[in-house]
Amino acid sequence: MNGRHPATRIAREFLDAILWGEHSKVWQLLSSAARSAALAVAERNGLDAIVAARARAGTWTAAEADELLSDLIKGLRADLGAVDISQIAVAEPDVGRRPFGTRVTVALSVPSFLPASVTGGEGWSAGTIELVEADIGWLVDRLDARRVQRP
Amino acid sequence: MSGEVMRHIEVGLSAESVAGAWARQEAAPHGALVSLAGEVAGRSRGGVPVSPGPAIAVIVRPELAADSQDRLWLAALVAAHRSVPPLGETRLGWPDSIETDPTAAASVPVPGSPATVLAASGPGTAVPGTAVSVASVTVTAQLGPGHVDMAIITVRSIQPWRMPDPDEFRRALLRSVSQAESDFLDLVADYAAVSTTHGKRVRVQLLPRGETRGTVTGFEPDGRLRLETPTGMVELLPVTVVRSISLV
Repeated sequence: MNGRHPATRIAREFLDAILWGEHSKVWQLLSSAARSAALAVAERNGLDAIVAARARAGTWTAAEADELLSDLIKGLRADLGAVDISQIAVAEPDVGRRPFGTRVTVALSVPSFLPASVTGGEGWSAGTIELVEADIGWLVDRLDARRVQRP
Repeated sequence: MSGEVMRHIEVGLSAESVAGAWARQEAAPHGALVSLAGEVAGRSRGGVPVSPGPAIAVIVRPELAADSQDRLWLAALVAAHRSVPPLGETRLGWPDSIETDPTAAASVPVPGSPATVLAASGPGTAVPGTAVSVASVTVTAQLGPGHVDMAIITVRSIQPWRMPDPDEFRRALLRSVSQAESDFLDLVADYAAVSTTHGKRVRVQLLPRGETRGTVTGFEPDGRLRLETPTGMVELLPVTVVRSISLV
């Protein structure tokens, strides 16, 4: 499943981490903007502002991290709830004329059980993952799960 | 209230409905048993219809807190394992399934249609790996203020010749319910020794939707399944959210 583009591999790792509930790995694979967005959502849903501040500073306790990241995993699974995460295929990014860009989008799809004449031989779209290149490598910046229904 | 503790009925709607009427209208005692030769509309966990067949239901009045009612599923499973006639090795798939491997099931001489053994997907829904579900249990609990007022525990077998002896099942169940009340760790140990999933990586399909994965590491004191992921995230699953469990 490893793609040629490193972002594809990171997207695959991110999905596997969601699938297997590897909560700390999911956090490690998020960009700083994505972490901020996740904490902002958590704050809107009742997360204590002090805990959120500690999370931003990386000084949260293990128990706080476990609780918050468990909720994050559940949220990501809910976002992808319309598809079987283990079946998601990650496409190579279309880098076009920007092969050295620091932001790519990879498409996600799940296999279709309908005849190829109906679907054109392609799976159903399951959304996209945007990744950015940081000092430590590619990181997930945004997951846009499309609300597709299983066939 | 009479001293009657066992009733046999040839045909009834379901073992739970007959036992429930006895418990509520005639104050059936702890351990009262209803044996049905044929259920017309039996339902397994989650209200899934089962094929007409025999069923045994036992009324228990355990001393359990309301939030510990899931302990009864473990008690029911262990009791069924202790009393269902062994036919090859049987193992337990929490929350409701007694299973055996297909070869053991296929080796049983079934008059008429041996294929039915392998074809049985069964009332049990937890069918890890290639195991065949041969019997299932169902727990219907009625809660009082803060405690379990009464529960009806039913066992059904896909293979009628594998139904437990009613009296033996009753004795085994009363013993395991007593363990659930005061020796829950012992009950968990008894279950773990014959479990298909304990200590293994599983995929749990959830109700109403979604799934989760991890390694089964045991049970919480309230009876919820404890699932641990590689990075240490712990998920606690009550019976009500589990659609099915399979090994991965």
